[in-house]
Amino acid sequence: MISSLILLILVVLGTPLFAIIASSALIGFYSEDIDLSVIAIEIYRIVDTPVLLAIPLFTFAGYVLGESNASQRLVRLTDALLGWMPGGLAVVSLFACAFFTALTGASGATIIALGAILYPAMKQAGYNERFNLGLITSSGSLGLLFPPSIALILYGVIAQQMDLDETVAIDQLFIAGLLPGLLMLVLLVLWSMYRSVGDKIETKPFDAAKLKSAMRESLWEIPLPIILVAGIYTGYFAVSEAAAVAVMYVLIVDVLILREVSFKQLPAIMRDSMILVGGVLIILSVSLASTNYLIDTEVPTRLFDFIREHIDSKLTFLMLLNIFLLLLGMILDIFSALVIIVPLTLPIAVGYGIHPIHFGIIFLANMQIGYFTPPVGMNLFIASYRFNKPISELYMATIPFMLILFLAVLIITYWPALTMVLVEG
Amino acid sequence: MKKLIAFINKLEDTLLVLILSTMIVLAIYQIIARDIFSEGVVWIDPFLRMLVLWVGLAGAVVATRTDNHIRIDILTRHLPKKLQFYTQRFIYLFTLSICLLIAWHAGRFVLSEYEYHTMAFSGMPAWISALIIPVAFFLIALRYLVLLFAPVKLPPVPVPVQDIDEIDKDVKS
Amino acid sequence: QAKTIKIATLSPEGTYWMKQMRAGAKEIKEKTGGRVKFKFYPGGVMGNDENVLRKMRVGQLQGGAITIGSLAAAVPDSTIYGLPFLFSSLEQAEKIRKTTDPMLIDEMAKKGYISFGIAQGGFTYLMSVNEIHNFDDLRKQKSWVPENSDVALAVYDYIGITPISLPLSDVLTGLQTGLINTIFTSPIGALALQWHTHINHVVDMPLNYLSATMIIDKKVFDSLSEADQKTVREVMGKVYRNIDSQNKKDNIAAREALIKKGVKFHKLADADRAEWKKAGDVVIEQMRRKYQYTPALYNAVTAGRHPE
Ligand code: NA
Ligand code: NA
Repeated sequence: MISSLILLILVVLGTPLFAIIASSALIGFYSEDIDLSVIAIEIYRIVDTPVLLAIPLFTFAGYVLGESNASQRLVRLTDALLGWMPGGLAVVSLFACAFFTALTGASGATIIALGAILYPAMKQAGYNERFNLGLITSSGSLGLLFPPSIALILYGVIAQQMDLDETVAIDQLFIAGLLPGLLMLVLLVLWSMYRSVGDKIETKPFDAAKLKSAMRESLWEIPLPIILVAGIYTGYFAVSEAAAVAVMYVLIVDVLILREVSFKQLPAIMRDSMILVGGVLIILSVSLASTNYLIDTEVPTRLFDFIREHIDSKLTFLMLLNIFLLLLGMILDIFSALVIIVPLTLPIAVGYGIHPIHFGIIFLANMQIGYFTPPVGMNLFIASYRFNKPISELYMATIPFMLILFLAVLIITYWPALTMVLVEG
Repeated sequence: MKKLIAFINKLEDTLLVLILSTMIVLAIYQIIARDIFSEGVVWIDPFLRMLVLWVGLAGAVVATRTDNHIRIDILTRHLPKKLQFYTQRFIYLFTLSICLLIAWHAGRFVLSEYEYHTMAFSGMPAWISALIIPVAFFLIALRYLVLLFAPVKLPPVPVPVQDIDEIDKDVKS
Repeated sequence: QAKTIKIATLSPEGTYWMKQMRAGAKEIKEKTGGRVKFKFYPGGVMGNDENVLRKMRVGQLQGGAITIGSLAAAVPDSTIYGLPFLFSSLEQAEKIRKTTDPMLIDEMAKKGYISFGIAQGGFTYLMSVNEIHNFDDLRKQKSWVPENSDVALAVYDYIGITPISLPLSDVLTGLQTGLINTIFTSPIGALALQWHTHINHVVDMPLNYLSATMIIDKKVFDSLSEADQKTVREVMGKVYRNIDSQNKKDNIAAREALIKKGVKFHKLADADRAEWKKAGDVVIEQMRRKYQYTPALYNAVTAGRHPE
């Protein structure tokens, strides 16, 4: 009890989370009289998890894409495709951001790379400043439910650690995330259209010639997502193979053919991307130990028994879960939340008859909002840094988007079929 | 001293790049061998899994250079400057002790793998494959020791890791 | 005073295996007046067999239910039942094991692992999309091999095949996409993992014999009173005999089920059969040199190899 309190103080003082998680595991094992080298045995279990290979590879591929001019081409292409709609540019931003985040991971790259193009463009087109800021900031996490989302992979890895009746395959998670992700996108598109009508933004006509030239320009990039998605969904590629294909593809296209990224830049890109991977994997590795302590002492089972005593309906449980996850998203980043909270909550959710795949999508949908929820949503800081705006202004700007995505989260939570129909179909 | 740190930085960066490059080459080679020539090299997959551990922990070591680790930073920013200074030192001290503790016990684990002749995969003893754990945590502890006495100037907001280059320049100058 | 023995296994909760072990644990608790309790960690939550052994070494776990071969590093003899083309029928295996199980269990005890009996997992068979009779047929296939299977690798090496190694979790997708078209597993495994949906033909010649056991750290076991040790041995011995005979029935049933689903089992012609057996001879000799089997055990186990 006292040790938890001390750890909590250390957390709010800004101690690296990996150190907090590691010390909670060390304290736990010590109190159970278990040899502390168990922590190394658990960290070493990273090598027993084949799918983790996808994380460094996809992250690196995403960073290379981020360094190339793919973002500009993507915006031009979506603009030619969707620019004619009411609120065209806003719709373009949403689709482009979702797409870019899915490919590069929600690492803030979207806000930095796409924000630089979209923010001034929307400003010029006459969009309200606050709407503009809110849209870019909240779109930075929009691709989280689409493949090859690293958060989805990580959830699958953690779920596979537990002894569940249902299997949680990563490719199934990718399929499950499609419709919920689209729902979020569609709701935001509707809101943007509505706002653009209110702001009296002009629409422009569809231009076939422009589309043709934009497509020719993106000739090399269009196949990549098609290959990845088709490869994963048909089962032709394992997830980690798809990641290797993505790396091979961006290296050939962006370094050899288009020459937008030079060989000389690659070492720095590699290092920067692996710093991000290191930050995630060190947390994952020590959390294997803390999870193992929980399993050893049967905490999830006892927690479930306790909750079961007080909550008897699945609906009440889901409601409390949503509130809990939203609060959690406010203070924890998505990777830490996954590794700390999923081992505790997933067995309980399964006990209430929630499918582990559905639970994963609920979890990530909630956490997606956390990316721009005050006080510590990471994308708020990145946007404030990138656009040089006070953070309080961003708090206000993102509120409508938060509400809309919350509506989406409610639909995703209480309508399991939306998630499961493609998986079971 | 600054020269030494710059050299170590360079060494770590090079190692990180080397590990990732190896992973990329082997992963792509394996796909071509399997899908086109229908045969695979048996040791590549387990070796790649080992390298995931290595690249992750090596990345974490490099991230420590700028204390670029995921944290919940609600309170510190609002503390008075002086107090910030002391809490930060305290956190460095705490983190470095935890890392040393892990490094020590991971060292015992590696030793026991050595004694029991466990194999990670064909031809690769588990103790070599696991050696990165004590080494990385020891290096992270060392990094926090440096930060404890000579903290780098950190960027005003968390993330953009690209800024690590700026800081490297600071170190060199 | 009371002793809690923590046992981990890859076997999921709810399997016959787990039900039997839990029933055994309950009986032991009652018979020892609560002095010996078991706590189970099923479904691989403590990691794979190797991790279970690591955790036994540091004392987090006191035992595990594992495949026998995973003890290879500590007890080289434990790999002996997995030798290729060793037994030709479940009955023959059973007969030989009557003498060799106690010898193997003794060797394990010498290295600090107390076992209460060995449970079979049946034979593995070569299963393929295409019909296979001889090595030439096999060379035309895309064969899968599990990682870390030195026996299988040695056999393929002898035949001159570079197989594709995939983790167990990727085999089904590999079969679906045609990355591989030939695998080997037991009839139970083929059904449980859904691999059978992509299999048309089976070479009707047992490849190797699967077996598993429950072990307890000798130090822990020795700390029990002699009476309690006897109780644990009796009850868990009975549990493992039950599992052993149930697994035999299940494997025979699984084979029938495969045939009913249209999978064809092909008997080998004598000439082909001799060719396969020869591969077995070579690889067995390789493994004998690698693992330095206890001579008495080796002789007893291989006694039935060439009965004709
Ligand atoms: Na993926
Ligand atoms: Na957050």
